[in-house]
Amino acid sequence: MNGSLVPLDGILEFIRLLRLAGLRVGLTETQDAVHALSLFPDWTHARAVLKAALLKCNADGVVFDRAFELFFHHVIYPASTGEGANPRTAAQGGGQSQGQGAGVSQGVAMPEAYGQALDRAVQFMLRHVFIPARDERARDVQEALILLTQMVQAQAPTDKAGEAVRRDLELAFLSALQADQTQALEALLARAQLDQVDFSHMDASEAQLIEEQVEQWVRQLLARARRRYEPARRGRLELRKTVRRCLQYGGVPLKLVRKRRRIREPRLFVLADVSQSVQAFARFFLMLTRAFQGVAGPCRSFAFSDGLYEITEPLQAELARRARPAEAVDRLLGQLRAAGLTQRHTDYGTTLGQFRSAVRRLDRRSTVIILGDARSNQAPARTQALREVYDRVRQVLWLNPERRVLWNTGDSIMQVYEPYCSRVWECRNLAHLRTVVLTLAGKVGEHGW
Amino acid sequence: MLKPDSLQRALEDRDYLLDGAQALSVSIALHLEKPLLIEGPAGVGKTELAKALSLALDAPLIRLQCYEGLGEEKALYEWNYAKQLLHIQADGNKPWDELSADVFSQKYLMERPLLRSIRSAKRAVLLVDELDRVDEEFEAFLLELLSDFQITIPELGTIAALHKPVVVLTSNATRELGEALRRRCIYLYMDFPNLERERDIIVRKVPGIAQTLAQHVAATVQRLRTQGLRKPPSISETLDWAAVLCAMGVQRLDGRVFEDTAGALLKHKADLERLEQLRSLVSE
Repeated sequence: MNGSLVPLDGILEFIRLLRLAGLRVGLTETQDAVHALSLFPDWTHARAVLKAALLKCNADGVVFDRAFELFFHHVIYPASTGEGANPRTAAQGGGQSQGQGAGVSQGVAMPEAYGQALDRAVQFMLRHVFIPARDERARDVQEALILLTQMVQAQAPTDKAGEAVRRDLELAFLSALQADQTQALEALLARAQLDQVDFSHMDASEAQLIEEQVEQWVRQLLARARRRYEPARRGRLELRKTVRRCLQYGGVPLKLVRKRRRIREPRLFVLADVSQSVQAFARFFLMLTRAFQGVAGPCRSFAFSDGLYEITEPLQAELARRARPAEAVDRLLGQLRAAGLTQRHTDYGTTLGQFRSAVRRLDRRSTVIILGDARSNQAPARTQALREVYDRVRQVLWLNPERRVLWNTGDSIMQVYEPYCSRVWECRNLAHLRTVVLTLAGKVGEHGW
Repeated sequence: MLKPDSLQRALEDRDYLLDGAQALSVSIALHLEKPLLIEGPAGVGKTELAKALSLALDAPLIRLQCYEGLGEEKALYEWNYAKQLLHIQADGNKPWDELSADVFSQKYLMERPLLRSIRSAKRAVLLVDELDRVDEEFEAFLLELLSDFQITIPELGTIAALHKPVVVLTSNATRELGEALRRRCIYLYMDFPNLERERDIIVRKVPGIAQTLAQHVAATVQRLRTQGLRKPPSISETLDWAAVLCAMGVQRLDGRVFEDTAGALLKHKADLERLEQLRSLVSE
C-alpha cells in the first residue's frame, strides 16, 4: 500500500506526535495520508500532501509546520537541509542524528554570546524541567521554552525574532538529547490541550486562537438565542393570509399561516475587573467584553477597579475600525492604565453602587455579566446595590477566574454576592468557558438567555 | 489520473490560478473521491474554484446556495403538491392504488440540487455554497448523503449515484462546522493571493491591461489589505478596479486616480472616509 518515500512507521510516528501536540487526527485521516502519499511519491510534495490529508482546520497549521520541521528535518532526515533534497540516502541511517554538540543550525555562524546563552538555556532545561519518563512535565516544557527564549534574548540580543530564537533553542535541545530523540521530541511538542491553558498564561499564538474561539462562542451563543426563538415565534392564526394561501390549493386550507412575534434581543451589561489583583486575567476579561460588544445588539461595557469606567465608546471605536482583538485590547489597557484603573485595588461595593445609579434602563430583558475575582480588599460589600440590580434584570452572571477552592479565602467575598447572582462559574480556561456557553445556550428562553 | 500540475494547467486554461499546494489538495480530493471543504475570507475565489473545476473537468455545475432555514425540500426533492392535487381532482374516479401510483411518479417529483447531482447522467460538480449558514440538523443530513451518495425516497425507493459527483463545500466560518463533517472532507484554506499571483490574475482576467499597471494595482491592493479596513478589497473588487482603470485609459496610477475610482474598490463609508490617509499607499 505504501510506495512512498516516507516509511509507514515514520508516518505513524509523526501522526502520534501530532496527536500529542493537540491535533485531532483520526483513523480516516491516517488512511488518507498514507493513500495520498502513495499517489504522490515525491518528497518535494510530502509536506503539502500530509497537510492536505491531515489538517482540518487552518489554525492547526502552525503546530503542524513545527512538528514537521522537527520530526522530518531533524530526526528522520537530518542530513537533508531542505525539502528539495532526496532523503532516501539519508533515510538509511534514519533515527540516528549527526554528531553535533549543542551547537545548532548546521554550519550557520552565530555570535559566541548567543551560542553560549543557548547552551545555558539547554542545560537549565535538562537539569530542571525536562525529566524523561515523566510525561506530566510536558506542559512545563512549553512554559520553560517561552521563558528561556526570553532569557536568551535578554542575555544575547540578536536581530532574530522570538520565533527564530525559540527554534534554535529547540534544535539545540534536540541535539543535546540525541540519545533519546523521540522523548525529546515528545517533550517539545506535547502540550496541554488549548482549552486547558489558563487565560492568565496564554502566549501570543494561544491568545490568538483563544480570541477566535471566544468570539465564535459568543457569536454562537447569541445566534442560538435568536434561532431557538424561531420555532417559538409563531403566534396566533393569521386568518387573512391563511385564506389567501389556501386559494392556491383550490380552497383547501393546507397551510396555516400564523402571526409572527418579534424577536427581542437580550440587552447586555458587561462589567470587567481590571484591577491589580486580576492583572493576569484583565486581558482575557477585555477580550471577552470586546467579543460581547461586537456581537450583541444592545450592549454596554464597563471596566472597574475601585470605581466604574464605561468603555462602550472606545470598544465601539475599535470595532468600527476593525482593529485586531489583541491590538484593541492593548490600546484599551493602555487607556485604563492612563486613567489609573489598573493600579488600584478593587472595591466591589463602590463599583456596584455606581453601576446601580449610573444605569437606569435595567429591566427583564437585561443580562448583567460580571467578570472578577470578588476580592474586595476589605471594603464594604454593599450587597444592597447588587440586590437591586438582581431584582430588576433577567439575570446576573458572575464569572470568577479563581480556583473554586480559593473562593471566600482571604478578602474574597464571593459567598456574600452569590445569593444575588443567577449563576456563578469558575472560568479560567476555554474548557470552563465552554461549560458556561453550553449551559447558557441550553436554557435559552423567550427573551434570549 | 489527473496530476496536480496538469490540474493546475487545466484550471489555468479556464483563467483560474491555483498555487502548487492548493492544486495538490484539490487533486487529492479528486483522487480520494472526497468532498473538498474550502474555507477562507469572502471574495478569495472559493466559489470560482468550483466553477473553474466544472469547466476543467467538463462536468456540469450544480449549485446549492445555503441559507438559514434551508431544508430537505429545497435541497433534495419536493413533490409538486399543487399539480398532484389537480391530478387527483381531474382523475378523481380512479381507485386510490392507481391514483397514488400516478401521483407519486417522476412526473410530480421536483428535483432539487442534491438529487440532481446524484441522478446526473454525467459526473457533476456539486457546489454547496456557504455551508456555515445552515443549521446543524441540515449539516447532519448532508453528512449522510456525502458518505453514501444515495438517497431514499419512500415512494420511489433508493436512488444511488450513477457517478459520484465532485463535491465542493465552501464556508466563511461564521459558524464552526462539525468535526464529523470535517473528517469526511479534504480541507483547503484559501487566503488572499500573494503579489505575483494577484498580478497574474489581473493580467489574465482584464484583457488589454498593461503589465506595469497590473503590477501597481496588485501592490496597492495588497497594501490596502493590511490597513484593517472595514471590508478589505477582495479579488473580485481588485478586478473591477483594474477593469475601470483600463477602461479609463489610465497609464499611471497616482493618488488622484485612486481617489476618483476608489468606489470600485472600497465598499464601506467608513473606508471611503479614510481616503486621504490611504492614498499614500498607492503604488506609483
